[in-house]
Amino acid sequence: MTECDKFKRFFSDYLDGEISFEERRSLEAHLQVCTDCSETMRQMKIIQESLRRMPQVKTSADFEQRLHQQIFAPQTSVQMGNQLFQNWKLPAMGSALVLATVGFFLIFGDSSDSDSRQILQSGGQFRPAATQISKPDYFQPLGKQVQSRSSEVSSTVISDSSAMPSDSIVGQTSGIHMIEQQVGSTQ
Amino acid sequence: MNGNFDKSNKLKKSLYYMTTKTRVGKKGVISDEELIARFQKGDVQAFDMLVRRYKDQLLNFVYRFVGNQSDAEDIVQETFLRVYKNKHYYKEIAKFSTWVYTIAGNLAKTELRRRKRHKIFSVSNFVNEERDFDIPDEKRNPEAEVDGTIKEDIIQKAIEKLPPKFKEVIILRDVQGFAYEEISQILNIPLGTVKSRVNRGRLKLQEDLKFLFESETKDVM
Repeated sequence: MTECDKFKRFFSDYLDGEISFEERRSLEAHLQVCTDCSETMRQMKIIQESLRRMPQVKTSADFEQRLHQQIFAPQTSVQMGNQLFQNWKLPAMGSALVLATVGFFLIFGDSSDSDSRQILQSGGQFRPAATQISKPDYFQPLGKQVQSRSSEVSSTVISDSSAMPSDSIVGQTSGIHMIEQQVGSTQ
Repeated sequence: MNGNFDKSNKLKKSLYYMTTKTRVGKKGVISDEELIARFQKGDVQAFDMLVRRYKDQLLNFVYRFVGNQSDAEDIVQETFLRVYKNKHYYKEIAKFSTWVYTIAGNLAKTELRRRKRHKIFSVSNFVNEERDFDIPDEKRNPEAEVDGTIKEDIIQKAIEKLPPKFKEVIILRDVQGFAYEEISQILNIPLGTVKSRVNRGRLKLQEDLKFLFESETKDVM
């Protein structure tokens, strides 16, 4: 580690005014003789000011309205489900298709009893596709998404870590920190 | 010179914190903690007040993180949705701001990981990135061409390029103006680690942006 590197550790403290008297005297003495460090310090100061002056973005005018819609979205989906259920055409068509398929195999398929029984007993080809698909990852809470991606990760995150940051506040594992660690462990 | 520099720095800092922090307690203003307590008892209007109080702050935080306003707004929406659904998980021992920023930070990081997994790089982003970090042409006059908007764009891109652990502390400290102690609570990392990361993040930014500020530095000094 060069002498400059040693002093660079205190650059932020100096900018923030959180440096001890001795450290400050020592750093200022170095800055007077080291052009590179002096230039770096000056640029850091300008960048810091620029960051503070960054323009503020505003949420769109309908932000709160859209939020309310999202909050009540589960009710909307239930209503949609009811509407679909009340609409008799869709389930009727589905049932007719299933019956027609079963009928086709019973009538025109190999009529040996053993084969027919095999088809009926297997049931796999008539099982609705939805029952074969596992629950998508994005339905899992945030913590579980990470957990499911990593089989090596210890199961410390049980529930939605981002939804319960209070856990981290009361001294338990932080959501951000845990996820960072977990992802790190997968890489 | 340094004495004056420190005094003006401290004055600007305190003014900055006073003007940008809605969470600073004021007489007659209901505190965030009081509002969340009311919301936990079923007062939805209290939730709406918290949304109005924090929506823009959080948007700025997340926007600087992900670099896309539309995505940032979706993340802030999701943040408030989670606050709404998980209001009983909030404990009064911590500031509401700490809690809500933690949620938003988690979601922003998840979005970045998702992008990394799916390698979503739009053509426009690629073009901007190339343009932003081109070495400036010596024949041009940087002062004339690098106007405020372009400069902000370049700084934003430099922030986005920072490693996440530096990016989050730089945004919270230098863009949002949080105290080190609060950042330590939001990220649940030791105070010393926060300070170290802020220092390294600032040095990294200076390294990446030195071409932009070299002439300005000479002018200022």
